Amino acid sequence: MSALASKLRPRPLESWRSASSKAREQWLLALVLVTPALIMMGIFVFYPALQTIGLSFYKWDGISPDMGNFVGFKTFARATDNYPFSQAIKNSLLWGVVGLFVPTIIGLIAAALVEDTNLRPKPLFRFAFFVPYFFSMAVAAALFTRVYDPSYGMINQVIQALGFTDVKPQWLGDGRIAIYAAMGVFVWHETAFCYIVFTAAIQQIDRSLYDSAKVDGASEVQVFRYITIPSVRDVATFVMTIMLIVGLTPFAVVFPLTTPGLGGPYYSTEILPTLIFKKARMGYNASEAAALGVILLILVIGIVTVFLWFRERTAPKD
Amino acid sequence: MLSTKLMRYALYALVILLALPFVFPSLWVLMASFSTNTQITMDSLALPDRLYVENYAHAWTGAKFSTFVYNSLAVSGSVTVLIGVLATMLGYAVSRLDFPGRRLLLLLIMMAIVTPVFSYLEPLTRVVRHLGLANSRTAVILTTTATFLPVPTLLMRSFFLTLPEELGDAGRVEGASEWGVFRHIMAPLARSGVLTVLIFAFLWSWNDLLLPAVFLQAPDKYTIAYAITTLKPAGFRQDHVTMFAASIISTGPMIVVYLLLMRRFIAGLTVGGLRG
Repeated sequence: MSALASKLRPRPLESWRSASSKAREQWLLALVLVTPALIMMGIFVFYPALQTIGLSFYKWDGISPDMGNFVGFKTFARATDNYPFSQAIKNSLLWGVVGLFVPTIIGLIAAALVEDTNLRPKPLFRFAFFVPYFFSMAVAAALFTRVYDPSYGMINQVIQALGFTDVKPQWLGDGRIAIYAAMGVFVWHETAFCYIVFTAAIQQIDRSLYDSAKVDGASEVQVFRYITIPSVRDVATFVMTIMLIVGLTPFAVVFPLTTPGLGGPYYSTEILPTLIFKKARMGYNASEAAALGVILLILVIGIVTVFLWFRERTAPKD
Repeated sequence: MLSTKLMRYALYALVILLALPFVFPSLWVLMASFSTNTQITMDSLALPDRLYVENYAHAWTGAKFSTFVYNSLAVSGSVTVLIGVLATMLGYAVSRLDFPGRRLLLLLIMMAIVTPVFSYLEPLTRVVRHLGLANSRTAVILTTTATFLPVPTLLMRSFFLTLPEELGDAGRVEGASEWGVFRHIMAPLARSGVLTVLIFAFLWSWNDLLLPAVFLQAPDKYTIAYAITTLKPAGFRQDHVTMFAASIISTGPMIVVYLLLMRRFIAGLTVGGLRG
């Protein structure tokens, strides 16, 4: 551990003697400012992250004192060649796509409808779209176990009240729809975040752009398309990156919704983090948890990199 | 004239329709938190016959939510202080100091942001066990601080980059040391950035589920978010109202931020996003 930390810690080089006193002082101060944070992150982030990669090539249960045998990619084969894993990958990818587009688009449209029109009173509408964010994601998901309840739950009660007395979906109990119900909670909660960030971004747009567009006879839709959307492009990239990362690891939604029976019914809401959590916390298969961790790491970094590369490439040149 | 008036009504109808799915479940939860379990099981859309304020009292004392709120305050308070100090220090170093390894350090911080905790969860639990911190709030505090630190660090970096370099140089001409420039000139000027980071860190750790769920086994150490998720419809006696009241209690910090500090929080978010 300490070997790793000292390797990462910036060290004065040979040029120390020739450096000016300002440069020397800056190196010393940097050493003082960086070291505590680097020790914390070294112990709790970098060391376990590196270990996960090593561990994934061994066969180890996580309990025996020695690490077991080096088995190459066999652990990956064992961890991936099963139904729960294929479900987890399918759900994670679908969830990533939903996260990228659904809360962001609804949030942007809602923010534009409130900020760029003569809707009154604005604070009331802003509050309305932000309300889900008062709850944390985990608490929201715990609440939705009640909202989704087949008998007394809010949604089915509303369906009853509207007169459809024989429609009683088992939102979380039916393996065909449980994953969409879970994504519904995610969209419900994260739209509020996207909304509030887009609201701040739209408020910063120069109002004279809108006025001159109006003078030129642009319609509301044209103003949205040609002024609002290009103006919030950087913020949109930021929001979409966050939604992508959260959408690929929505543990805080699935855990409260499906515990006990995490990832159920019958693996229908399984995602990579739930598989890893089960293997890591029950501690019977450290190597497989590590292999899945490596896969998740590659998946998230790969997808985020491709997304940012695509945004960079399609950026307007000015 | 008629058509613009019609457009106006259409706009209101559209926005209200769009807002309804977000508002209605929250109102339902609020209403149910003042209702009774029998009323909820019979007709959960009906208003209770009176306000059952005692649900909150029961959540606070009977269901031990005073303990969970205390735990959350202890955890989030410590995380907030640690992150405020560490992110300011690290953010200043990577934005304003010239030292060998700076680019590598920045790259490591970026990589830590996109590395999900899940990918190294199992080794992390072993590190915590080896340090003798299993089943402790300290484990949650240290792991939350370390894993969340990269984001506020980049936020502080963006704030320091907005400050003009001439201020530091002026201090140096006056004979201030590098430490003096940081401690007495730059850090005080970055106050609003620090405030954003403090809010961010507090809300993040208050809301987090994963690390408490992994590291806390004894219920008397649970944080409020984790405790609420354990109050699920599993037993034969379902106590809905306590859970609803507890979730309303859990919104406390967010309400404070919304009422007092929202603008600053959002400004911080977007600055971080634009330059991150």
